[in-house]
Amino acid sequence: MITMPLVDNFFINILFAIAALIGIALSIRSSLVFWYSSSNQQKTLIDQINALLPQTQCGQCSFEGCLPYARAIARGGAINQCPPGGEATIIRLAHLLNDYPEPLNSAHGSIEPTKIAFIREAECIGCTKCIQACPVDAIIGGAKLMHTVIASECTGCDLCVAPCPVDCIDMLALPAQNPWQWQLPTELQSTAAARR
Amino acid sequence: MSSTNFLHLPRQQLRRRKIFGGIKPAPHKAASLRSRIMPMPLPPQLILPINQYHGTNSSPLVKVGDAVLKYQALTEKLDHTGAALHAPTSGRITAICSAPIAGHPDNAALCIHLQCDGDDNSLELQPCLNHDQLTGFEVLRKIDAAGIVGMGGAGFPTAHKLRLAIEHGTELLIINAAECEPYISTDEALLRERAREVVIGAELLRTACHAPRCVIAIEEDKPAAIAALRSALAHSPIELMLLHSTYPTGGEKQIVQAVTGLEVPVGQYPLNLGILLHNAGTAYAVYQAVAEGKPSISRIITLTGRALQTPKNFEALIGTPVAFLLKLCGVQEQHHLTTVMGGSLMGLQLAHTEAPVTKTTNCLIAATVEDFPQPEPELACIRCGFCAEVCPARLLPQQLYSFARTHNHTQLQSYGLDDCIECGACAYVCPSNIPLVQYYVAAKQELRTLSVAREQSEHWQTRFQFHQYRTKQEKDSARERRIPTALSPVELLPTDSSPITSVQFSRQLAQQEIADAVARANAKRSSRLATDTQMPQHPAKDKE
Amino acid sequence: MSQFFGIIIAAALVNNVVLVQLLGVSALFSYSNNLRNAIELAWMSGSIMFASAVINLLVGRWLLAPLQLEFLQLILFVVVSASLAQLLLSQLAPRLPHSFRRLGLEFYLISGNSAIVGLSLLNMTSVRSIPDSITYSLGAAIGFGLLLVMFAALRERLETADIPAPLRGAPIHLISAGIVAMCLLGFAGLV
Repeated sequence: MITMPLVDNFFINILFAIAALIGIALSIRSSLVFWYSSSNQQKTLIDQINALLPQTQCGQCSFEGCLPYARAIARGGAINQCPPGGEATIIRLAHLLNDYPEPLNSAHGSIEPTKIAFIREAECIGCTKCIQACPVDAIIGGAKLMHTVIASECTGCDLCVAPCPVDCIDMLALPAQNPWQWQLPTELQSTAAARR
Repeated sequence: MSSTNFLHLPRQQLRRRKIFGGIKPAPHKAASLRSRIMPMPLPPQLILPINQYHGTNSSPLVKVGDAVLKYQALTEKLDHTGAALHAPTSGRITAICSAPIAGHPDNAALCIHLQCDGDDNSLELQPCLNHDQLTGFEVLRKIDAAGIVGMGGAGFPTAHKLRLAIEHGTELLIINAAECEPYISTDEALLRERAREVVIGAELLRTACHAPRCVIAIEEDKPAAIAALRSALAHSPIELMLLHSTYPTGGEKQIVQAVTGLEVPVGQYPLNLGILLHNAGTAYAVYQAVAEGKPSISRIITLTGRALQTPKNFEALIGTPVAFLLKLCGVQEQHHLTTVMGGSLMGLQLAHTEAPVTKTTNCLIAATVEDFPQPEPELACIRCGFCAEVCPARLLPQQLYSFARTHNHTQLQSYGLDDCIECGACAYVCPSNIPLVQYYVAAKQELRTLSVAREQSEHWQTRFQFHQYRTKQEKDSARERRIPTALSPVELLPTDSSPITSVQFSRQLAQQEIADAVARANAKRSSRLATDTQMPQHPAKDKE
Repeated sequence: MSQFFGIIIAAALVNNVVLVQLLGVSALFSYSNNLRNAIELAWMSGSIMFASAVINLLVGRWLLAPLQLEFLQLILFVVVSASLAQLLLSQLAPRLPHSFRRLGLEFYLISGNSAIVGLSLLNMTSVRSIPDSITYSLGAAIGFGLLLVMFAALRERLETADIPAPLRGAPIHLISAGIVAMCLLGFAGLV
């Protein structure tokens, strides 16, 4: 085989060879990182999806909790079945999975502002059915004793409303949290334009 | 202790350096420096926010109707984030309620309304003439009692900062007199007239934090202040350093770099390098607290802008309404377009002038259309790169802008949006008039909301996992009890044996049942509301 | 050695299989949202391209040429590339969940695209020796992968650019592809 120099100058060839070697070394290093982590990829994909879900454990997606839904999504399920997550979760899931964002599947509910449960204590009979139903143990109380919802722990999944035999649980909207919201200037312009 | 050891550079001057990037806007300070610092006449009413800023913790010591004397403590701090507040003048407390203040996230905060009686009766002060013989601990105690907070704009309680510095070990104390932002001239006026007091305050701070070395850093375009400082520092071991007059040299990380050449790493503070920073105004407040025994009740504020007939620096009482100060300077309402609290680059536009002056307000600009002309329309980014040239934090504003527009949160974090100091240099130089800082502030808020939501969902997930664990444990103790993970086989997830799943599984089928139950509960609630006057309130509504 | 690098550079840049020789341009517009997915796609397509090109080369030079069955080359190459793509991708799919999910069946089609068949045909007609042709295929695969990644990065940038409404989406991507092709012409005469 006739070895032709790339360029006539010897030193520039050496320089080129060094640059090529460094480039190859760097790409091997980064691909090692890639392949090393890929063995965990199956597990971390489910965890990545689960991290994007709101964890209300409400079951509106027709799975028994958020982790089973995450597993279903990883196996190819639809990403538009989570009403508590809203549009933002669908878009983020689409971005993660290289998929197209779709509007929320209305068969699974509609996007509503967050509510938390409130037990009307005057009517509570202490049956503990709601305590058993709550997926995050946000209701405290005992048999024949007063039950109450810990507001800071309630996820608003409204699974406690149905079991209550005296219908004493209300779902009330949260008070407005932080009215001072900065908007991106482009959004400000478009809302101004829409108003015009 | 940190490894940077300034002790080994004995009398050798620390060399001044340039900061990264930066801009040189026109200073606009001459107008307010034409006269001396003026004392302020007593306003009819003072509005004193109980908390310094959102998230701090103080509680009032007085009730509505109390008569208070000047220097009397009005609030006490509940933890280290709070600072005591003292009555700036004598009078009567007329209300303790929510009032609009500037810069608060909800635009209103709990304030003490003090009706001034004009007599200015004060408590007996306890000055300390031998302040140079006090120990560090005594100085710290006096600073704590006086309720001094950082006067540079951050408002961090000085005593707590000193405590952290003592714990960590300080090697260098820098007094920040840089004042780089246009329109603000408080520190310059202060140093011009009261340099001796500032130097004594710096000495006291040095005693308190046990720093072996102290530097006063000032920009080189303030000749009168520099001359006064030089004569005040004649017999003092404190050094003077003149910095290049660039904006934003006065920023915390920037001034550390300009004075020492060290860069504060991401996520850390200058204290981690053994460097303590205090504003010159804070040093003056420390002098007043220790040597004169006066708590923090007033500060120097610059009133400037073309709408004022006589712009000047005031020694204003905390809690003075902005409108009162503007009237003292002869504000011409027909030209007065906006009021800005702060400088022209980082200041906050006030919606109305009823807001009070706080311990961190350093400047009020009553602007006309000539001062702040109508911003030109935002054009498309032409990728010129001027913004990256001037960014003092060495970020890439162009990239951050495009990621903010596409809400690309992972890239925003990896490009360092959290390190943006919001100085406004990038927006200042942008040829397309893009309001870059607004994008970054909105994006930061989005990131914060997201991280709060994520923390909450992680918390709920933990509770749910414990709930499953507990239910399984209750049901059978013989089988393995493992918290299900992503790779557990399906059998280990809760099955029909647990009551919760029977409800959850049937969610899809029981959608109608749940909707009916909610409807029944709502109907009951409205019928109760109609008949029962003793309806308990929603617990969350009590939070204000 | 320098001949090896020379051929790689020639195949990857100077005679880039997509933008200079204009084979398999459809692969450029397999819209991956972000860079990470594009890197996965580039790995997949690159490895399939190299593997198929080598197998087709060997089959063509050692089987078809001696038996004078060159007229079967097109069908054979298509069958080989498609089945190899199927085989390799079913192995790779669990490792590359991000791309697999979106594309589904297109997953296999995009990876086994016309650039592979074109490359194999080019190898058959060239006078290069077998080692040189293998090197050439490696270079072509690298160039192809490089282009996929470059275009994904370009698309990320184009998302926030101020593009006039009629040109948003496919038109501006095609225009960008044309401009990048012109840029690659600058490599002419390098090797």
